Amino acid sequence: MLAVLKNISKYYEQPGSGIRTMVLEDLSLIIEENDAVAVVGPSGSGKSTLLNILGTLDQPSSGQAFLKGMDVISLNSNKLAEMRNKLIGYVFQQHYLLPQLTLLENILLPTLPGKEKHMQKNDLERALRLIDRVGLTACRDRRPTELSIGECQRGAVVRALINKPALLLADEPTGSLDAGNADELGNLLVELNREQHTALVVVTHSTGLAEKMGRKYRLVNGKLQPEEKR
Amino acid sequence: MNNTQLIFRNLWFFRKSYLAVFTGAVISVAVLTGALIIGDSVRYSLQKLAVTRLGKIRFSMETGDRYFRDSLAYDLASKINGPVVPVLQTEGIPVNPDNDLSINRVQVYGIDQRFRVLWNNSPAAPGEDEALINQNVAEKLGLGTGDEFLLKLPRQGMAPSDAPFVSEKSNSVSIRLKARVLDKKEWVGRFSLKSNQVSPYNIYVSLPQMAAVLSLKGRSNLLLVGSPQGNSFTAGKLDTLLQQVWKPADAGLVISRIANKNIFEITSQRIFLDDRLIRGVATALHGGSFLLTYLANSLSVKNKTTPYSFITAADSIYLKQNLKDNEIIINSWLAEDLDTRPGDSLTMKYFLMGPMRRLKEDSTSFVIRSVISLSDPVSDPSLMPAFPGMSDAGSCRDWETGTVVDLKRIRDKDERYWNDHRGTPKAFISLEKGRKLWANPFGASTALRFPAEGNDIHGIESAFRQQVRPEENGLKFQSVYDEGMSAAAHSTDFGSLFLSLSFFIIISGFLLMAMLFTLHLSSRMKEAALMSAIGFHKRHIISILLAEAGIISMMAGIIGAILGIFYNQFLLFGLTTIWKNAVGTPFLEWHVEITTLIMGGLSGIVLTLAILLLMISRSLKRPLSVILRGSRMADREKKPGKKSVLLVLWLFSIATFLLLVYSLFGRNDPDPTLFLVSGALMMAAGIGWVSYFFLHSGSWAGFSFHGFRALLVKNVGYNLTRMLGVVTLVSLGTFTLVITGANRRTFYGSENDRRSGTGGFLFWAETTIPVEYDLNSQIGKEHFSIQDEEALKRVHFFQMLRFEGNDASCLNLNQITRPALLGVDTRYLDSAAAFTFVTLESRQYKGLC
Repeated sequence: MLAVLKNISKYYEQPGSGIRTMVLEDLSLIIEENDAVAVVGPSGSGKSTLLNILGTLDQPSSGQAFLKGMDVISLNSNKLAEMRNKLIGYVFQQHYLLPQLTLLENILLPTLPGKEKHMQKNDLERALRLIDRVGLTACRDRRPTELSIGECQRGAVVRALINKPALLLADEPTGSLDAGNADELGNLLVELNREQHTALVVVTHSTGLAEKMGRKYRLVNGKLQPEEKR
Repeated sequence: MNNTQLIFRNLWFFRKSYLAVFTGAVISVAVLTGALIIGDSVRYSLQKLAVTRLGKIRFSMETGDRYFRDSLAYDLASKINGPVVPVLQTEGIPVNPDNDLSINRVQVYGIDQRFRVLWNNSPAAPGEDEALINQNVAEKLGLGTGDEFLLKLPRQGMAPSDAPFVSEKSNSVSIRLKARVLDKKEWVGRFSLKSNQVSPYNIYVSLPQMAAVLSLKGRSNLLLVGSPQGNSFTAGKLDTLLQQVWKPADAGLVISRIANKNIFEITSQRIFLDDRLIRGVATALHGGSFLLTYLANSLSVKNKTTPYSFITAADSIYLKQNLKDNEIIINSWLAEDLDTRPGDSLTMKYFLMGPMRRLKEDSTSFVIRSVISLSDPVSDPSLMPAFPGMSDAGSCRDWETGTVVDLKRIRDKDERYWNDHRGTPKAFISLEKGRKLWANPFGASTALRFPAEGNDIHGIESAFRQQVRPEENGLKFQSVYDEGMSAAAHSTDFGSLFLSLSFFIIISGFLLMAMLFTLHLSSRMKEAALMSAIGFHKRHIISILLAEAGIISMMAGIIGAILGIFYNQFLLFGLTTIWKNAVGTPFLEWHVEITTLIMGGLSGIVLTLAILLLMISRSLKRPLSVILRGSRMADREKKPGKKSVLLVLWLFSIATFLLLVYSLFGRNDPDPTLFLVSGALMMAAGIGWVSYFFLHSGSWAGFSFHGFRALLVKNVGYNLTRMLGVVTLVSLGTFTLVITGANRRTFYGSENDRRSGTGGFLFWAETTIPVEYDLNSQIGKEHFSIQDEEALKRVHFFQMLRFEGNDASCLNLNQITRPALLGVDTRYLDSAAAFTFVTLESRQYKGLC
């Protein structure tokens, strides 16, 4: 088991009033290696919160979370950062490529924390391979402002994969793309899931994208309900 | 790519934002450094001025109205192998007869060629009827080289002008001199022993001419010592050498052998023998007798009176008999004049002189013990002291006594006695009684006599040197050069002063920088959140941002420090032009110590970095997931409790109110510190209330904002930190202007207040020629011919005696150690409740005369 969420609950408390809003309630989920999981649900249902807890960006109010057997709730912020760097790749609805860097530099950005110098050559080679794989070779020295949104989002996917993560988390990755680009990116994620042996968890409103995943869940009232694929 | 490349990429990409941050930091660092350099410049300029005004002079000995021999300079020079120059100094009033312009209290120096060795570029000493005048005097009087002017000097003489029986008539003397204007480059024109940056008014006159005019031939009252050979010379060592070479004459003592008598006599050119000087000598010379000769207004027995007679008080050794306190010996001339005999009662009347020549006639009765002949050995015309204006008078009617002498009372037989026997005392009383009656601050005897056997002049001088220290006579060296340097080094700290004045500008600069940097950071928060999401430690993200801030801080520190030099020059320009009165000299020069520059730059770097680090830490406190979501809810979630904020705000406001009430009504005089504190509290409370208003504007009960106003309030309060930054910036600027204006101290409106710095006095004047009478008394008014001035009928004069020293007011930038002393009538100050004193000491100062 790559990742395990066990009886996870998450609520937000309004300061002063003490009123709690339950977002996730006693939720459990297991992600196996090479899995491709889609989570769908209405806006505000807690999909992103679930992804953030899975990606260690947020802490649950109660429950347990394990990644590669490690209890992530007990880890400090530095250990969590290391874990994110080594095991998790993120793709957000917006690409968040840094405008001051070229596409290649953006892709190499996750290699900066805690890397030995001699390893950087391998990183560069992998980055170039991945860029070529997603068809962005011609764009590698361009800045994000010189690229289309689709190109940027593909670049963001490559950045997420540069450290060979075990788990790729995508939060509405096609949300800002037109239909053509969204379809293309969906296919790319699935292909990379297979090629890179990276488990993929996608939170999306897109039925088309969800259908491409191996498993599909619906998040309703803070709980995950498995859904049959059409 | 590595971290360094990333940092420089960031710096270049966000160059516009960073330029704005850099500008705020540079302003603060430049103002901070510039203010510190002002301290360097003022200290350097004052030290340079000290060198300028002292030339090669290292030590000085000022003795005021105690005059020593000119030749003391030669005697001392032989001991120290360096230049020692005697000078006669006094104050004077130069008058240009062509335009009637005059200057009060100008320093007048009697010098000769020896004075030149103390200066690098000195003109020839003034000749007879010639005067060197400095630029200040020339400009103020409108004099040029070759022009003639009058110089009015206080008539001095060896005797103190306020001692009993010293004539005060015509207490000034004028001489006509031809001016030679000193060039600005001739530093001798700036000569001054006072630690003060203000350029003096100096006139140099020929030493022999000045000494002759002031009846002080061969005398000086200022000894200047140039750099002695060897570095170990101190004022103390010079005092020791002075002890070895000084003579009784340097203390105004005259040793003489009485003609036809085997007796030595020590008298003083100051009339009265100073007890501190003579007591030790008397102990060393065995068999000495003190004598005190005084002028009685009248001696009466029954209805007969003899006017103006000298009486000598002497001990039993001199009189060869013991006199009781109430006994008197008279000579045969007096016995005959009063038709009296032993056993009769004799009444003696005499004047006692108080401050400002207030004369009080007192009387004492004696019993006549015996009558001696005029040929008796104790009867001696030389017993009369050398009272100026009396001892050299041809007749009694020519007496100038300094007291009221009724010439009508002088009979022909009195004139004959004067012609035949001069001031031979007509009566003798016991020394104890005489001292009880006539001892005064100048001394308790007029002569010391002792047998010539076993003594000679050299022995007496030797006893004098062994028993009396020069400093007891006011002969003491001062390390004027070291004092000048120290006074300049510890001068008013203009660095701190300008730092305080610039404080709010510095704060504003940093606040502006912090605001702009926060703005910049807010645009990069998603970048930070992304970096955190992809595995950067928070520490790593902070270090990248801090490195960028560090480079900006360093650049701001270096460039700000350099710009600080220009800011300093701008301040110096102000201080030497529009603010000239604040420093009293246009001779401020730019000077910077490299340590100050480094300190300014480093302080700027550290402060900038600390502020930017604080901003970075604050910005990165928000949860990353929230930042990535783009929500501002986290900010709102952390807003402080309404009640605790309200409590703090009310406490601030009440404290402000109480402080203001106390400072306005609880004290007699306003305290600037209290005003500053209450003002700062008011500003903090005001900013707090603004913050509170916008923070809670959405939930304020009783306030209803709709439409445009509601939108306005919401918009302004949306980014509270930024809005408060702007409010604080404008508040600080306004506060600076208001507090500076409110604390500007003037006399306007309080000039008549007796507790103010004016003491409630309307006019104030300083004189060069001493006013020796009480101007409120009839005799004083008559003396100055103001008795008929209608306008002065209701005017009260409050007179003070000034003992010269350094200017201790805030106008003198130097740190002074010897301030001027003012002798005042404390009873009048008490009764008039004039001035406000910080502390009052009730100690009695004795021996100041």
